[in-house]
Amino acid sequence: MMPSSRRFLIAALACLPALAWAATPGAAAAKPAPSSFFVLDNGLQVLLQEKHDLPLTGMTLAIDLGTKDESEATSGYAHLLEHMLLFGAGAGVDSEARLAELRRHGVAHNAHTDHDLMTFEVSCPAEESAWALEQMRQAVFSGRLDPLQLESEKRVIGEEILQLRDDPAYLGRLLVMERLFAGHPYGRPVFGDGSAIRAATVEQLQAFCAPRLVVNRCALSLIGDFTLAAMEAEVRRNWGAMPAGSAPAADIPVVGRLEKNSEQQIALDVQECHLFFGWRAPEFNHEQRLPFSLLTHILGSGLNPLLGVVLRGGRLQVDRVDMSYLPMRSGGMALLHVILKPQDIRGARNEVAAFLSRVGSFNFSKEDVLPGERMYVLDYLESARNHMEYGDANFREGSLNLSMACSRFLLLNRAPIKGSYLESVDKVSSNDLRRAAGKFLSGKKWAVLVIMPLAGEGQ
Amino acid sequence: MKTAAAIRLVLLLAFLPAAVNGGDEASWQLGREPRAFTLENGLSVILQQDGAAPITVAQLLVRGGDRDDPPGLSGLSYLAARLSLEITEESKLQKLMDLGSSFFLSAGGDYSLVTIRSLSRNFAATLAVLAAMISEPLVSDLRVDGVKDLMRHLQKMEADDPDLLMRKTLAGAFYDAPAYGAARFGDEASLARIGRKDIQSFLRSHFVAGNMTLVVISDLDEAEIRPLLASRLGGITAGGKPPPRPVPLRRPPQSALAVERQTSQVLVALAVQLPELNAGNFVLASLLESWLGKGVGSRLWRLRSRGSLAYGVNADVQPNREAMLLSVSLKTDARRSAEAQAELERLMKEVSSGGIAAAELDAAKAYARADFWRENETRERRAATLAFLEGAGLSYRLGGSFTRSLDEIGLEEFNDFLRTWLAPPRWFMLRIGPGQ
Repeated sequence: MMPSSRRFLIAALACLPALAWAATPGAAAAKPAPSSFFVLDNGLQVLLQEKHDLPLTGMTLAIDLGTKDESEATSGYAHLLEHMLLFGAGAGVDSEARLAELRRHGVAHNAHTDHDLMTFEVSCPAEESAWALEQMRQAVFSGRLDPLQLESEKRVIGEEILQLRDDPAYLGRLLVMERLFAGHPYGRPVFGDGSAIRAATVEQLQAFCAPRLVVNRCALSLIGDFTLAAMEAEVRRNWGAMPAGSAPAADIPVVGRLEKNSEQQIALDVQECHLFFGWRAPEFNHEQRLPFSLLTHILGSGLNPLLGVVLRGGRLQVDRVDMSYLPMRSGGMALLHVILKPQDIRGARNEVAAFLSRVGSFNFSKEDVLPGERMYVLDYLESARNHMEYGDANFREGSLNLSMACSRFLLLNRAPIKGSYLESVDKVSSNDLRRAAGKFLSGKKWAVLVIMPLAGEGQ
Repeated sequence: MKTAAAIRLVLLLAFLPAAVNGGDEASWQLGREPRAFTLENGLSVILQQDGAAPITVAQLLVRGGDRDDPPGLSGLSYLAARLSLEITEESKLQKLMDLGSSFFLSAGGDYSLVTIRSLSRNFAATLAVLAAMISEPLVSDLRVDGVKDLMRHLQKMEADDPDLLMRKTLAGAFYDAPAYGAARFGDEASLARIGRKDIQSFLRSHFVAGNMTLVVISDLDEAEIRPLLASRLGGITAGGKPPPRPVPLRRPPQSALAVERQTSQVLVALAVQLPELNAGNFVLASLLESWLGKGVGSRLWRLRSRGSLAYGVNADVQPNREAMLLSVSLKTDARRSAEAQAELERLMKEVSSGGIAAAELDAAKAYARADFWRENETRERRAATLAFLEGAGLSYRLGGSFTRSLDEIGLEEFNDFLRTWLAPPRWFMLRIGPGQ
């Protein structure tokens, strides 16, 4: 069901710098950037924001179409479709001519597919914004799928799969996700196993996308060197006449319980040993998404990640610790990636388990201890808040990144917004972190994967 | 006529300085025009004000990179730079963490670059901690051993990543060691040889104010930042630029090399040495890199669109001061690597002999111009660009006029560049992956 425009307006405004800045101490004098949100009659949600520091515009169209919409028989179709639309032919010109024309206008474009959404991203000189907006609409909604190009893109995707499988960081993420979400669409790789797309025809691809590739399942975000009034007129002129589709929003199966731990070991021709731990984590609209995000940062990012301290404190030779969190619409994943000596794998697993079993009582903040002891305590919570504030400001400087985040947010968010992002970060307490750790990490089932160097296999 | 011409000349001369200055002011095309000044100890500072976000980024460039590693001591410049950023006391680490500040070291053939990130309200405190570390690095055996362990990890990372391995292998093929061909993170033998005295000597000669350039981009006022920089960084020892080690240029002793790895794909690369780094050559090389291999629809993209040979293609220019290095590459199914290499060679022959047509050059410029803005949209990247340009002796001002310099490249000039530097006898082929 489509959420109300009002709720989306609130949600959209919350991800604008305007309100985020209001929550930034010391930034009171800075003027928020002009921005607006509206929904066209055909259901397209549009977010605009002026940004005048360089003559560029970043624009992203997010579509509610991803791996979640596939079955075993259509596994990989969304990703294949993305390739076909991004690199396809234009009206009266072949694919190469279209790409050359885009470059002639200074346009860089790309696209991504994940389990929930597909995004088409364009960065262009500001003076080309209207032209690029038109090109984006034509590329995505032209309905042209060329059989010859289909065969070509299948081979290219074959190369993409090989490339990703040679990358231990990507492969680790993929295999852990398969284990954590076995039997659910989130457990399938975005590009499938290759068999469904090898057999795909243009007709099958069209049947897959027809009900889903509709404007009322889309959000468009433009950030750049334009005026709101002129750009709004351009968007309405360019996209307003498109018909709305009738398909309901995707019905994603519920992610079931993870019944048992899983362990897996593979070998690659690499010199480093990689150890991955995966846990189920809060979904995008979960009330604990933000606390969990801060917790992930504290445990596995920044100058001195807490899990790095824990592992090295156990006299383990750990070269790198990195923790990430992927919130999706119906589930989430926390992934810990440790690079270490092969002989320390068992020790690392024990140290991580032992630490997580007691993290529910960990002091994340100076507020957790008596005033006299505070000067000896690292304030992990304050540090994470400051890092996120910096990261947020840094992220907002890139018009394309920002447009991508905004359009994704518009489609994924279902939660009521109370205040800005940074205000929400400030409200997270040490107790919230402990609760999030207790609910999702302490003693919870995990998926462990070891990637051993070929030379060290069997140790 | 003579009088009229004389009047015109007088008028022209009278207005020339203002016109030139005014033109310069107006022509800076990358955010606000920065201010350049020098601290009393000789540290050169470039300061750009940018009120778009309440954060401050500083990029500290220290001249001295792979080329400056003495014979047998490869990795010394990286080790010294890394050691100068080792946090010596728990309290300093705690302070930096509380502030939410961070720093990052990247190393190159000619220099090291320290990136300092901070919320603007915490910049003064951040700078105080970092200045103390950089001014008085603690060179103890324990710390040196710790950094050497880190470098062993970086050696492995470099060996496991095909793109990093390509860069390292090509540097070794085109340049001697010591020079740009030196292993950035050293090897077992060189790490064993490097002692505290070597490190202290390198720090004394290179980590001096006159050998550094600092670029700061911040929303803070100049009036606030200038005294802050003077008080925090004024303590860095004064001293000039040490003479860089000479870099003998050579052709690779062989025209091809294969590095065996048991991977699904093979990386196929073609590399050529380009001319020395100066402003003109830098702009030409940047245009070449962008046209050949940056983004969808680049010239190399045909290897994907026509032959489905790869998921991605790439071109990369290493801007080494004595001679830049261009590589073009793709990764392909091991079973198709011979076909991919043949197609890559065919395409590069076409480029070097056929050149570029006027319309395609215009398109290449349009894309490269927009890409320069994209690359420098965040202050972190912009500060790195300005620091590199200034540190490499090209002047930070090239950052503000880069897009105009691109526009000024002529068709014949670019085609001459292609013919001269991409000629097949200059090629070096590299293959990383399973044996054929």
